[in-house]
Amino acid sequence: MTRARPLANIRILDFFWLIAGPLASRTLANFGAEVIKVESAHRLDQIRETGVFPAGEEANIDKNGVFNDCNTGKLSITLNVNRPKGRELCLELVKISDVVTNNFRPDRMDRWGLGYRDLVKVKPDIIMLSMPVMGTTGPLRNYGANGSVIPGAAGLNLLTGFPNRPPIGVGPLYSDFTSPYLAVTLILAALRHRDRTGRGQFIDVPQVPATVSLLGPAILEYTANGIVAGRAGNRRSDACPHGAFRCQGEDRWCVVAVETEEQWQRLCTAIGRPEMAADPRFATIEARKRHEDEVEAAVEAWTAQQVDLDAMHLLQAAGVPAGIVETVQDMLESDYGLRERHFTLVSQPDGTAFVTHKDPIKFVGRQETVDRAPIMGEHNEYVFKALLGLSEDEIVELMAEGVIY
Amino acid sequence: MSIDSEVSPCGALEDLLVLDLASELTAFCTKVLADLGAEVVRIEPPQGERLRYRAPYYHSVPHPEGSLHHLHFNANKRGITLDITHRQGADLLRRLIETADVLVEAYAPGYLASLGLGYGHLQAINPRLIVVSITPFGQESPYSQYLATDIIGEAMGGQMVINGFLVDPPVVAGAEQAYHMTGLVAAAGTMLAVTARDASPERGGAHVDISMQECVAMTTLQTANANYYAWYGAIPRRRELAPHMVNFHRCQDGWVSFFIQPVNWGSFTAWLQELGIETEVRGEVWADAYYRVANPQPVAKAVADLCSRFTQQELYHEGQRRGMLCMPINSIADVVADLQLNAWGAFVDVDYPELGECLRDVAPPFHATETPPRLRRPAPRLGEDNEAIYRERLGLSASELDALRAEGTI
Repeated sequence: MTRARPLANIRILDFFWLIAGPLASRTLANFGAEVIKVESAHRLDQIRETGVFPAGEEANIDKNGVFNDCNTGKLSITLNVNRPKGRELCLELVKISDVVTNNFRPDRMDRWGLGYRDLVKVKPDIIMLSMPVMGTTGPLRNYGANGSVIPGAAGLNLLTGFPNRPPIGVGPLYSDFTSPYLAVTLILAALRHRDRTGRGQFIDVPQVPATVSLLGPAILEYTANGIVAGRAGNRRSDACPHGAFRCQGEDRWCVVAVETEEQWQRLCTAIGRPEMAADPRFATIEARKRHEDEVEAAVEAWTAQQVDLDAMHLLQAAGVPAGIVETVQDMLESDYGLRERHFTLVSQPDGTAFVTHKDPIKFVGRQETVDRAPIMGEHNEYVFKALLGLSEDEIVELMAEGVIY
Repeated sequence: MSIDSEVSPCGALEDLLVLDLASELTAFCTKVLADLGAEVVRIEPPQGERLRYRAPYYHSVPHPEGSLHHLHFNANKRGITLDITHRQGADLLRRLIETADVLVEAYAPGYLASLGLGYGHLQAINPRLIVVSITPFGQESPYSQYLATDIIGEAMGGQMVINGFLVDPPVVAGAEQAYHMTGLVAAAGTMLAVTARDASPERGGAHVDISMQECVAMTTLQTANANYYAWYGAIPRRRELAPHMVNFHRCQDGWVSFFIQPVNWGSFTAWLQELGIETEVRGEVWADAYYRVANPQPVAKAVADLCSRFTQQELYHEGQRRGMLCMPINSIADVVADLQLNAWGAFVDVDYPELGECLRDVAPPFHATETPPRLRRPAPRLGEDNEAIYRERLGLSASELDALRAEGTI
């Protein structure tokens, strides 16, 4: 089985950094694009410094687990675009690239003389995608944020969790994972448009609006009905029981989602409570919602006697939607369907191995894997020599001058 | 090939015809494609697809044309009714497939094949067809036949275990984020398949396999990075409920998120000093970022003290001015009123003549100089495009259409 590499003829000049940006160019690299990640010791991608390191390697910027996951398959150059010669080399790379990406504040690329206006002068059909926090336009466009504060601003925190708790929102830096896939779609659509019309373009896909776009029905509930949705823990207004129920063991949970009356009937039988199926107090979702504490207690009385996986399998066999709360250990060690499909071990030349996510986009019948992330500056020689035609001496001099740096 | 030749040439995907065998798992994927200009034809059973029957409803009146889920997710799409379990229904789908670019579906693996509508069957009709199959666990998982909803995707994908507080059960993300994340990945996967087909037309279409569980797993990549476990045997879980939550603080009229980048620590301590806040974290040893990470509570307490003196908006603007990554924790009402979001254009008014008003919805969140998003139509009424597609496009006669309606195929 061969890999799907539909982007084999595409080159991305990639200024994405941290998480939200790199996960977009990661997918492009995973599917064959040549992604040249522009780094600089002058402006280190902070993700190289924060996260999980192998024991004893905490200061090694090439060994960060999160960085290596976010940057699979890319090339890395070090190029200081603050220097005129650095900017010049960058524009040479633009000439041979299809897309230029970044997730800086909106004035950053302009201040380097690498804004869209500058890029089209050297390559008229260039596609530039910017993924700032707030937008390329608007009075607060230069405000800063990262994935730990964007979901709160977008409204997700006050929709998440139990109402009596601090609104810390979703555990992972959630918007860092959603925005990139939107960027992938937009880049591919723009490339297609260019191939059909010869025209490139500038695309602005800001992270706060992108996160707001994930809350559609809640937005409409306010604008159409005047209702400000609040936090409901694991409950839903139109399903019951719906939540996480404790199972045997430490922090083990079964999740159950009963959306229809038939599923309720089947649940009652499965948990050995047929009398509940006949009880008018629980006969409909509306009725069960009025007695939700009692319904949930009955479910948990059963799940508390079960191993979580057994509970899931039993309920599923009975036709009731159910699952378990998986930890990273479960995902790597016992959920074989997930582990084989989704994780892989990627090694650096010196043997350091990273457990890495494959891309969740799969082509049936194709072998999918990912290539390792780059060591910083690993591809300076390839990019500056083979692609740009600089001589060995020129490169050495540019390094000494702090341009290739 | 697109059905509606009157679509203005501004959509990036305007030439693509996407058939959506409508379900909760396909809705957001096809919305993203529709917002990029694709002609999305939503195919639902004659009595309407499930999304039409989900609360909340417009003015809380249950009605298949008033579900806010439907009105939001299905704007920009066309809609026909079809029962593909009827033999004639399956045949009509095959005829639609002949000129379609993409079919998006979310049935249990094998179900469509049992109707003679599997990938192999459809590829024989249209070798260029791309089928995007979205399921909770993927086509080949041991769980591939399991029933799942959004909360089950969040749980099995490893996100719930890191959401919330240890003193509580794991909690799901609000507003059905597993469905949303899956939709985003599926849209990107669709575009990859389209790109592959454009690059190698002789290879024809492809079958794209998207698992909600895997999509959710991607969201755990930082907080629950697999190498925490591989290298240290550590299993990330949700937080301890501490007196002061790092990064989230109460202020005078609500809550803010408040993140201090290491490079701006000095700016923060200067602010503390200006306010006359006496705290140990103004001491020299706290200038070390690693020390602060190892000793979070005093820092969180100092931030909490500062935040307690101001309103959300004061903290937002003054914090940003001083280089703090500070943002209000907004309610939906705050979001809809937000100055920057409105100035940027994050909302769009959608005209619903039958409701007698325009509804303000969230707009597709991108600007593009050549191919901007465009709202072409509101969410379709049940069967709204049956005439246009069955009669004008497929050439069925009026009496054939009536017969199909009578037997419940349409």
